Amino acid sequence: MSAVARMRADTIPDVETAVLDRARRGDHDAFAIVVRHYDPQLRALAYRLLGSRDRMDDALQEAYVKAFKALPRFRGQSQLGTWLHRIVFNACLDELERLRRVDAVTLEDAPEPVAPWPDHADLLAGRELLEEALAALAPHDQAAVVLVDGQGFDYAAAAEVLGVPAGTVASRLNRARAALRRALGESVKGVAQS
Amino acid sequence: MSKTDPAVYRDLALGAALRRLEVPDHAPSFFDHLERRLRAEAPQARPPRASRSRRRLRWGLRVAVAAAVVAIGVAVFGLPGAERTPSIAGMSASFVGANGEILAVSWGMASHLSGSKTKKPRSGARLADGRSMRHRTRALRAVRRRRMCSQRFVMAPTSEPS
Repeated sequence: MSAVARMRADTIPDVETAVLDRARRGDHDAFAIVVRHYDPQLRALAYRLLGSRDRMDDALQEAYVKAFKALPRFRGQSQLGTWLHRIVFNACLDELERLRRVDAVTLEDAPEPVAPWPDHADLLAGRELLEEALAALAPHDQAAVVLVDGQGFDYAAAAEVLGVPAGTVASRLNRARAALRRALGESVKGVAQS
Repeated sequence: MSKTDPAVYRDLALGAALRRLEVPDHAPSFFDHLERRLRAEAPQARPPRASRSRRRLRWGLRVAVAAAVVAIGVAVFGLPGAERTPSIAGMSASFVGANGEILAVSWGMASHLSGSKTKKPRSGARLADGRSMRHRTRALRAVRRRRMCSQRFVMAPTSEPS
């Protein structure tokens, strides 16, 4: 594991217990601290799944209000970050359902393989390609890649977020990575190295 | 399995590329709107409910305290009406001795009470001759009144001075 990945995975501590206790008692200022703590990760997940800032904001508003109402029942059986990711993921699925996009987005719709870009210089084009390829994945596959490869979740935590067994997460990851590689050629490595 | 578990395979290059992707910030009004919604929800948010065992313990304590208060009250003041029970349950020997004859007669009369059971017809019921019960009652009253008048008439001369 690279230093960057390890740092991302390990240096996102849970919020202070005192703040969490206040939030659980209905203190919305304390809850705002909790939300701002995890918001960058949650925003990334929601944006990757929904592909639009307005939809992302709508889904996150719903998710945060739901989390605030459900927080008194949070028993700490999972990490708070994992619990919040699960709520956000479900809110995104609801939003997708509302937009009737779930059935339209399948793996078969993934774009045809394209030739790797010439000298990996055009990062912007590479990002656009990756975004397009990600958007072509099914929501569960997108989320698996974003959580495990992008945010450093292990399979068990990702399985908890997605509501599936860890083995299913592994198979979805394999499928999603293969589809992304197909879509991007081997150029993803080039993007990472540049 | 922890986040640093080496058994977890991560595509580091893909991960790095994913992290480079742009994620827009929230709309400027996002957190203001969220705060308003949270404020609206805040009164409904309730503190976490105590566990079942703790609730049972609380109720047990309440019942125990109530039982202790009642027991102390009984010990200090006694049962309500307890001192009247003997005079209600039986009669004192002096009372029986003084009123024995009267009691014996009363008991004898009470034990020889007899009668026949009758059923009072409904006021709207019809008699065998077709008249209503109310009509018959009126007629009986009239007869009784006439008798009383005739008795007065018979008794009147005896009361006059001769």
